[in-house]
Amino acid sequence: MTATCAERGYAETTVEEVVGRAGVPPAAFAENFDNKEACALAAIDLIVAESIGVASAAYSPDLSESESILRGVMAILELWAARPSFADMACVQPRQMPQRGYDAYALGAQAMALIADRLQAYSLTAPLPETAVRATLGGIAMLIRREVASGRAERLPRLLPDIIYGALAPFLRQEEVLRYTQLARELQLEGG
Amino acid sequence: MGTTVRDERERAADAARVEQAERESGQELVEGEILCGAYERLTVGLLEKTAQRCDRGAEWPQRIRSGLEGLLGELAAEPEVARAVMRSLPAVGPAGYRCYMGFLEAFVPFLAAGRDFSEAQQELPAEVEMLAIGAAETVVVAEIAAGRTRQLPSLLPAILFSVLMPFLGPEKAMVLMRDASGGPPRTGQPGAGV
Repeated sequence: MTATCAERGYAETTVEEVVGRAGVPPAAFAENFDNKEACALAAIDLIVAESIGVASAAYSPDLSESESILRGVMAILELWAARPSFADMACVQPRQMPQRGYDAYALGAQAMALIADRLQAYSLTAPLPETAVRATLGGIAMLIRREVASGRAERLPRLLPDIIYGALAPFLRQEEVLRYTQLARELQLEGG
Repeated sequence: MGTTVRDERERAADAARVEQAERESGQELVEGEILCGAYERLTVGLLEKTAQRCDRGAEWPQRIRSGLEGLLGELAAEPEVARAVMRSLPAVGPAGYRCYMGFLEAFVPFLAAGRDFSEAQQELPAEVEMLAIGAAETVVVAEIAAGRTRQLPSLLPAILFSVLMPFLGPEKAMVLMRDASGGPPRTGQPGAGV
Protein backbone atom coordinates (compact mmCIF):
# COMPACT_ATOMS: atom_id res chain seq x y z
CA MET A 1 0.00 0.00 0.00
CA THR A 2 2.67 2.48 1.05
CA ALA A 3 4.90 1.76 -1.95
CA THR A 4 2.07 2.08 -4.48
CA CYS A 5 0.77 5.29 -2.88
CA ALA A 6 4.28 6.77 -2.91
CA GLU A 7 4.60 6.11 -6.64
CA ARG A 8 1.13 6.96 -7.87
CA GLY A 9 -0.56 8.87 -5.07
CA TYR A 10 -3.44 7.66 -2.94
CA ALA A 11 -6.06 8.77 -5.42
CA GLU A 12 -4.64 6.73 -8.30
CA THR A 13 -3.84 3.64 -6.23
CA THR A 14 -6.23 0.74 -6.70
CA VAL A 15 -6.92 -2.29 -4.51
CA GLU A 16 -5.92 -4.50 -7.46
CA GLU A 17 -2.46 -2.91 -7.57
CA VAL A 18 -2.00 -3.19 -3.82
CA VAL A 19 -3.01 -6.84 -3.83
CA GLY A 20 -0.86 -7.65 -6.86
CA ARG A 21 2.20 -5.94 -5.41
CA ALA A 22 1.78 -7.58 -2.01
CA GLY A 23 1.31 -10.97 -3.65
CA VAL A 24 -1.80 -11.78 -1.68
CA PRO A 25 -5.15 -13.02 -3.03
CA PRO A 26 -7.96 -10.43 -3.24
CA ALA A 27 -9.95 -12.48 -0.75
CA ALA A 28 -7.27 -11.92 1.88
CA PHE A 29 -7.53 -8.17 1.36
CA ALA A 30 -11.32 -8.30 1.66
CA GLU A 31 -11.07 -10.27 4.89
CA ASN A 32 -8.97 -7.56 6.49
CA PHE A 33 -10.15 -4.29 4.96
CA ASP A 34 -13.46 -2.89 3.80
CA ASN A 35 -11.81 -0.77 1.14
CA LYS A 36 -8.69 1.11 0.05
CA GLU A 37 -9.17 3.83 2.64
CA ALA A 38 -9.33 1.34 5.52
CA CYS A 39 -6.11 -0.24 4.28
CA ALA A 40 -4.41 3.17 4.06
CA LEU A 41 -5.49 4.14 7.56
CA ALA A 42 -4.22 0.80 8.89
CA ALA A 43 -0.90 1.44 7.15
CA ILE A 44 -0.61 4.83 8.84
CA ASP A 45 -1.34 3.22 12.23
CA LEU A 46 1.40 0.68 11.58
CA ILE A 47 3.90 3.36 10.62
CA VAL A 48 3.10 5.39 13.73
CA ALA A 49 3.57 2.27 15.88
CA GLU A 50 6.91 1.41 14.24
CA SER A 51 8.08 5.00 14.58
CA ILE A 52 7.22 5.09 18.27
CA GLY A 53 9.01 1.74 18.59
CA VAL A 54 12.32 2.97 17.17
CA ALA A 55 12.10 6.20 19.17
CA SER A 56 11.50 4.23 22.37
CA ALA A 57 14.44 1.97 21.60
CA ALA A 58 16.66 5.04 21.38
CA TYR A 59 15.78 5.99 24.96
CA SER A 60 18.35 5.16 27.60
CA PRO A 61 18.28 5.86 31.34
CA ASP A 62 22.01 6.64 31.02
CA LEU A 63 21.23 9.65 28.84
CA SER A 64 19.66 12.96 29.79
CA GLU A 65 15.99 13.35 28.81
CA SER A 66 16.90 15.88 26.14
CA GLU A 67 19.53 13.61 24.60
CA SER A 68 17.10 10.68 24.63
CA ILE A 69 14.55 12.82 22.80
CA LEU A 70 17.14 13.92 20.22
CA ARG A 71 18.15 10.32 19.62
CA GLY A 72 14.49 9.28 19.40
CA VAL A 73 13.73 11.87 16.73
CA MET A 74 16.90 10.88 14.87
CA ALA A 75 15.81 7.22 14.98
CA ILE A 76 12.46 8.11 13.39
CA LEU A 77 14.18 10.15 10.66
CA GLU A 78 16.56 7.28 9.95
CA LEU A 79 13.66 4.83 9.76
CA TRP A 80 11.81 7.07 7.32
CA ALA A 81 14.97 7.65 5.29
CA ALA A 82 15.39 3.89 4.96
CA ARG A 83 11.67 3.45 4.19
CA PRO A 84 10.68 6.56 2.19
CA SER A 85 7.20 5.19 1.59
CA PHE A 86 6.64 5.35 5.37
CA ALA A 87 7.39 9.06 5.43
CA ASP A 88 5.23 9.58 2.36
CA MET A 89 2.30 7.67 3.85
CA ALA A 90 2.55 9.43 7.21
CA CYS A 91 3.13 12.99 6.02
CA VAL A 92 2.09 13.40 2.37
CA GLN A 93 -0.70 10.97 1.53
CA PRO A 94 -3.19 12.03 4.26
CA ARG A 95 -3.45 15.37 2.46
CA GLN A 96 -4.41 13.41 -0.67
CA MET A 97 -7.02 11.28 1.05
CA PRO A 98 -10.70 12.04 1.56
CA GLN A 99 -11.87 13.81 4.70
CA ARG A 100 -11.56 10.71 6.89
CA GLY A 101 -7.92 10.35 5.97
CA TYR A 102 -7.36 14.01 6.68
CA ASP A 103 -9.08 13.57 10.04
CA ALA A 104 -6.81 10.61 10.79
CA TYR A 105 -3.87 12.87 10.05
CA ALA A 106 -5.31 15.42 12.44
CA LEU A 107 -5.67 12.69 15.07
CA GLY A 108 -2.04 11.75 14.52
CA ALA A 109 -1.13 15.38 14.98
CA GLN A 110 -3.14 15.38 18.20
CA ALA A 111 -1.05 12.51 19.48
CA MET A 112 2.10 14.44 18.63
CA ALA A 113 0.60 17.47 20.33
CA LEU A 114 0.58 15.61 23.63
CA ILE A 115 4.36 15.85 23.53
CA ALA A 116 4.12 19.51 22.66
CA ASP A 117 1.72 20.02 25.54
CA ARG A 118 4.44 18.93 27.92
CA LEU A 119 6.63 21.64 26.48
CA GLN A 120 3.88 24.21 27.03
CA ALA A 121 4.67 23.95 30.73
CA TYR A 122 8.03 25.55 29.97
CA SER A 123 6.58 28.23 27.74
CA LEU A 124 7.88 31.72 28.33
CA THR A 125 4.79 33.31 26.90
CA ALA A 126 2.07 30.92 28.07
CA PRO A 127 -0.67 30.77 27.12
CA LEU A 128 0.33 30.57 23.48
CA PRO A 129 -2.15 31.26 20.67
CA GLU A 130 -4.53 28.34 20.31
CA THR A 131 -3.12 27.47 16.89
CA ALA A 132 0.53 27.48 18.04
CA VAL A 133 0.91 23.76 18.62
CA ARG A 134 -0.74 22.86 15.32
CA ALA A 135 1.46 25.40 13.57
CA THR A 136 4.60 24.02 15.21
CA LEU A 137 3.82 20.49 14.03
CA GLY A 138 2.91 21.85 10.60
CA GLY A 139 6.28 23.52 10.23
CA ILE A 140 8.09 20.30 11.04
CA ALA A 141 5.83 18.23 8.78
CA MET A 142 6.49 20.71 5.96
CA LEU A 143 10.23 20.00 6.06
CA ILE A 144 9.60 16.27 5.89
CA ARG A 145 6.92 16.55 3.17
CA ARG A 146 9.16 18.67 0.96
CA GLU A 147 12.03 16.17 1.03
CA VAL A 148 9.73 13.21 0.49
CA ALA A 149 7.73 14.85 -2.31
CA SER A 150 11.00 15.72 -4.05
CA GLY A 151 12.29 12.15 -3.82
CA ARG A 152 14.98 13.08 -1.29
CA ALA A 153 13.86 11.00 1.69
CA GLU A 154 17.43 9.80 2.26
CA ARG A 155 18.20 13.34 3.41
CA LEU A 156 15.66 13.27 6.24
CA PRO A 157 18.25 12.69 9.03
CA ARG A 158 19.94 15.93 7.96
CA LEU A 159 16.81 17.74 9.10
CA LEU A 160 17.36 16.87 12.77
CA PRO A 161 18.69 20.31 13.83
CA ASP A 162 15.92 22.11 11.94
CA ILE A 163 13.25 19.85 13.42
CA ILE A 164 14.56 20.27 16.96
CA TYR A 165 14.70 24.03 16.46
CA GLY A 166 11.14 24.08 15.10
CA ALA A 167 9.80 21.90 17.88
CA LEU A 168 11.29 23.92 20.74
CA ALA A 169 11.16 27.45 19.34
CA PRO A 170 7.68 28.42 20.61
CA PHE A 171 8.37 27.28 24.14
CA LEU A 172 11.91 28.22 25.17
CA ARG A 173 14.20 31.23 24.97
CA GLN A 174 15.83 31.45 21.58
CA GLU A 175 19.36 31.05 22.99
CA GLU A 176 18.28 27.84 24.72
CA VAL A 177 16.64 26.55 21.54
CA LEU A 178 19.87 27.27 19.66
CA ARG A 179 21.79 25.30 22.27
CA TYR A 180 19.61 22.23 21.68
CA THR A 181 19.91 22.78 17.94
CA GLN A 182 23.69 22.69 18.31
CA LEU A 183 23.42 19.46 20.30
CA ALA A 184 21.40 18.03 17.42
CA ARG A 185 24.14 19.06 14.97
CA GLU A 186 26.73 17.32 17.15
CA LEU A 187 24.62 14.17 17.31
CA GLN A 188 24.30 14.29 13.56
CA LEU A 189 28.07 14.50 13.13
CA GLU A 190 28.54 11.71 15.62
CA GLY A 191 26.23 9.52 13.54
CA GLY A 192 28.15 10.35 10.40
CA MET B 1 -5.33 47.17 -11.53
CA GLY B 2 -8.99 46.28 -11.06
CA THR B 3 -10.51 42.85 -11.40
CA THR B 4 -12.92 42.50 -14.29
CA VAL B 5 -15.94 40.21 -14.54
CA ARG B 6 -13.98 38.24 -17.13
CA ASP B 7 -11.05 37.84 -14.71
CA GLU B 8 -13.41 36.54 -12.07
CA ARG B 9 -15.03 34.08 -14.48
CA GLU B 10 -11.64 32.79 -15.57
CA ARG B 11 -10.50 32.36 -11.98
CA ALA B 12 -13.72 30.53 -11.13
CA ALA B 13 -13.21 28.26 -14.13
CA ASP B 14 -9.60 27.54 -13.09
CA ALA B 15 -10.70 26.77 -9.53
CA ALA B 16 -13.45 24.46 -10.82
CA ARG B 17 -10.93 22.68 -13.06
CA VAL B 18 -8.61 21.98 -10.13
CA GLU B 19 -11.49 20.76 -7.94
CA GLN B 20 -12.79 18.54 -10.75
CA ALA B 21 -9.37 16.93 -10.99
CA GLU B 22 -9.48 16.21 -7.25
CA ARG B 23 -12.95 14.58 -7.56
CA GLU B 24 -11.95 12.52 -10.56
CA SER B 25 -8.53 11.56 -9.26
CA GLY B 26 -7.20 13.29 -12.34
CA GLN B 27 -3.54 12.36 -12.27
CA GLU B 28 -3.35 12.52 -16.03
CA LEU B 29 -4.84 16.00 -15.99
CA VAL B 30 -2.20 17.15 -13.52
CA GLU B 31 0.59 15.67 -15.51
CA GLY B 32 -0.73 17.50 -18.53
CA GLU B 33 -0.08 21.18 -18.64
CA ILE B 34 -3.74 22.10 -18.38
CA LEU B 35 -4.14 21.75 -14.66
CA CYS B 36 -0.76 23.12 -13.63
CA GLY B 37 -1.41 26.05 -15.96
CA ALA B 38 -4.72 26.71 -14.23
CA TYR B 39 -2.97 26.43 -10.88
CA GLU B 40 -0.28 28.88 -11.90
CA ARG B 41 -2.88 31.40 -13.03
CA LEU B 42 -4.63 31.09 -9.67
CA THR B 43 -1.48 31.47 -7.60
CA VAL B 44 0.42 34.10 -9.57
CA GLY B 45 -2.07 36.77 -8.53
CA LEU B 46 -1.84 35.75 -4.90
CA LEU B 47 1.95 35.95 -5.00
CA GLU B 48 1.97 39.32 -6.77
CA LYS B 49 -0.46 40.82 -4.29
CA THR B 50 1.52 39.40 -1.37
CA ALA B 51 4.71 40.88 -2.81
CA GLN B 52 3.05 44.29 -3.17
CA ARG B 53 1.83 44.15 0.41
CA CYS B 54 5.26 43.07 1.65
CA ASP B 55 6.66 46.34 0.30
CA ARG B 56 4.61 48.20 2.89
CA GLY B 57 6.11 48.75 6.31
CA ALA B 58 9.39 50.12 7.55
CA GLU B 59 10.72 46.95 9.09
CA TRP B 60 10.57 43.26 8.25
CA PRO B 61 7.93 42.24 10.85
CA GLN B 62 5.57 44.95 9.61
CA ARG B 63 6.15 43.91 5.99
CA ILE B 64 5.39 40.28 6.84
CA ARG B 65 2.28 41.33 8.74
CA SER B 66 1.09 43.37 5.78
CA GLY B 67 1.75 40.56 3.31
CA LEU B 68 0.08 37.95 5.49
CA GLU B 69 -2.91 40.19 6.09
CA GLY B 70 -3.32 40.64 2.35
CA LEU B 71 -2.93 36.93 1.61
CA LEU B 72 -5.49 35.87 4.23
CA GLY B 73 -7.87 38.51 2.92
CA GLU B 74 -7.50 37.26 -0.66
CA LEU B 75 -8.14 33.65 0.36
CA ALA B 76 -11.13 34.61 2.50
CA ALA B 77 -12.65 36.63 -0.30
CA GLU B 78 -12.68 33.66 -2.69
CA PRO B 79 -13.26 30.44 -0.73
CA GLU B 80 -13.56 28.30 -3.86
CA VAL B 81 -10.19 29.56 -5.12
CA ALA B 82 -8.68 29.08 -1.65
CA ARG B 83 -9.87 25.48 -1.60
CA ALA B 84 -8.55 24.80 -5.09
CA VAL B 85 -5.15 26.28 -4.29
CA MET B 86 -4.60 24.92 -0.79
CA ARG B 87 -6.57 21.70 -0.66
CA SER B 88 -7.64 20.35 -4.04
CA LEU B 89 -4.44 20.35 -6.09
CA PRO B 90 -2.22 18.77 -3.43
CA ALA B 91 -4.90 16.09 -3.02
CA VAL B 92 -4.70 15.02 -6.67
CA GLY B 93 -1.39 13.12 -6.59
CA PRO B 94 2.40 13.45 -6.58
CA ALA B 95 2.57 15.82 -9.57
CA GLY B 96 -0.10 18.06 -8.08
CA TYR B 97 1.72 18.02 -4.78
CA ARG B 98 4.95 19.15 -6.45
CA CYS B 99 3.10 22.10 -8.08
CA TYR B 100 1.76 22.98 -4.64
CA MET B 101 5.21 22.82 -3.03
CA GLY B 102 6.49 25.13 -5.74
CA PHE B 103 3.79 27.64 -4.82
CA LEU B 104 4.69 27.45 -1.12
CA GLU B 105 8.43 27.77 -1.78
CA ALA B 106 7.73 31.00 -3.65
CA PHE B 107 7.12 32.62 -0.25
CA VAL B 108 10.69 31.91 0.93
CA PRO B 109 12.19 35.20 -0.36
CA PHE B 110 9.66 37.25 1.65
CA LEU B 111 10.78 35.50 4.82
CA ALA B 112 14.51 35.27 4.15
CA ALA B 113 15.01 38.91 5.13
CA GLY B 114 13.98 37.88 8.63
CA ARG B 115 17.43 36.37 9.10
CA ASP B 116 18.98 39.83 9.09
CA PHE B 117 16.38 41.01 11.58
CA SER B 118 16.96 38.12 13.95
CA GLU B 119 19.47 38.30 16.80
CA ALA B 120 20.38 34.69 16.06
CA GLN B 121 21.23 35.41 12.40
CA GLN B 122 23.85 32.85 11.31
CA GLU B 123 22.83 30.41 14.00
CA LEU B 124 19.31 30.02 12.62
CA PRO B 125 18.76 26.63 11.02
CA ALA B 126 18.93 26.28 7.26
CA GLU B 127 15.21 25.62 6.86
CA VAL B 128 13.81 28.29 9.15
CA GLU B 129 11.83 29.90 6.30
CA MET B 130 10.08 26.62 5.49
CA LEU B 131 9.32 26.06 9.18
CA ALA B 132 7.49 29.40 9.15
CA ILE B 133 5.71 28.66 5.87
CA GLY B 134 4.65 25.20 7.06
CA ALA B 135 3.30 26.67 10.29
CA ALA B 136 1.09 29.16 8.46
CA GLU B 137 0.07 26.67 5.78
CA THR B 138 -1.09 24.06 8.28
CA VAL B 139 -3.36 26.48 10.08
CA VAL B 140 -4.78 27.86 6.84
CA VAL B 141 -5.45 24.39 5.37
CA ALA B 142 -7.18 23.27 8.58
CA GLU B 143 -9.47 26.29 8.48
CA ILE B 144 -10.30 25.69 4.83
CA ALA B 145 -10.96 21.99 5.49
CA ALA B 146 -13.29 22.98 8.33
CA GLY B 147 -15.25 25.33 6.06
CA ARG B 148 -14.07 28.47 7.86
CA THR B 149 -12.25 30.10 4.95
CA ARG B 150 -14.06 33.41 5.34
CA GLN B 151 -12.86 33.65 8.95
CA LEU B 152 -9.17 33.38 8.00
CA PRO B 153 -8.43 37.11 8.57
CA SER B 154 -9.40 36.70 12.23
CA LEU B 155 -6.42 34.35 12.61
CA LEU B 156 -3.90 36.98 11.48
CA PRO B 157 -2.43 37.57 14.97
CA ALA B 158 -2.02 33.85 15.75
CA ILE B 159 -0.55 33.00 12.34
CA LEU B 160 1.71 36.05 12.50
CA PHE B 161 3.05 34.75 15.82
CA SER B 162 3.92 31.38 14.28
CA VAL B 163 5.57 32.98 11.22
CA LEU B 164 7.70 35.54 13.11
CA MET B 165 8.52 33.35 16.11
CA PRO B 166 11.11 31.08 14.44
CA PHE B 167 13.12 34.19 13.57
CA LEU B 168 12.55 36.40 16.60
CA GLY B 169 11.82 34.01 19.45
CA PRO B 170 8.50 33.69 21.28
CA GLU B 171 8.73 36.79 23.43
CA LYS B 172 9.23 39.29 20.60
CA ALA B 173 6.75 37.45 18.39
CA MET B 174 4.13 37.66 21.12
CA VAL B 175 4.56 41.43 21.39
CA LEU B 176 4.15 41.81 17.64
CA MET B 177 1.14 39.50 17.68
CA ARG B 178 -0.52 41.68 20.31
CA ASP B 179 0.14 44.73 18.14
CA ALA B 180 -1.63 42.96 15.27
CA SER B 181 -4.60 41.86 17.34
CA GLY B 182 -5.20 45.16 19.05
CA GLY B 183 -6.14 43.21 22.17
CA PRO B 184 -5.58 39.98 24.04
CA PRO B 185 -5.03 37.08 21.63
CA ARG B 186 -7.24 34.01 21.40
CA THR B 187 -5.48 31.48 23.53
CA GLY B 188 -6.28 27.91 24.39
CA GLN B 189 -5.64 25.05 26.68
CA PRO B 190 -2.68 22.86 25.76
CA GLY B 191 -3.46 20.96 22.59
CA ALA B 192 -6.41 23.14 21.64
CA GLY B 193 -6.63 23.88 17.96
CA VAL B 194 -4.72 20.80 16.95
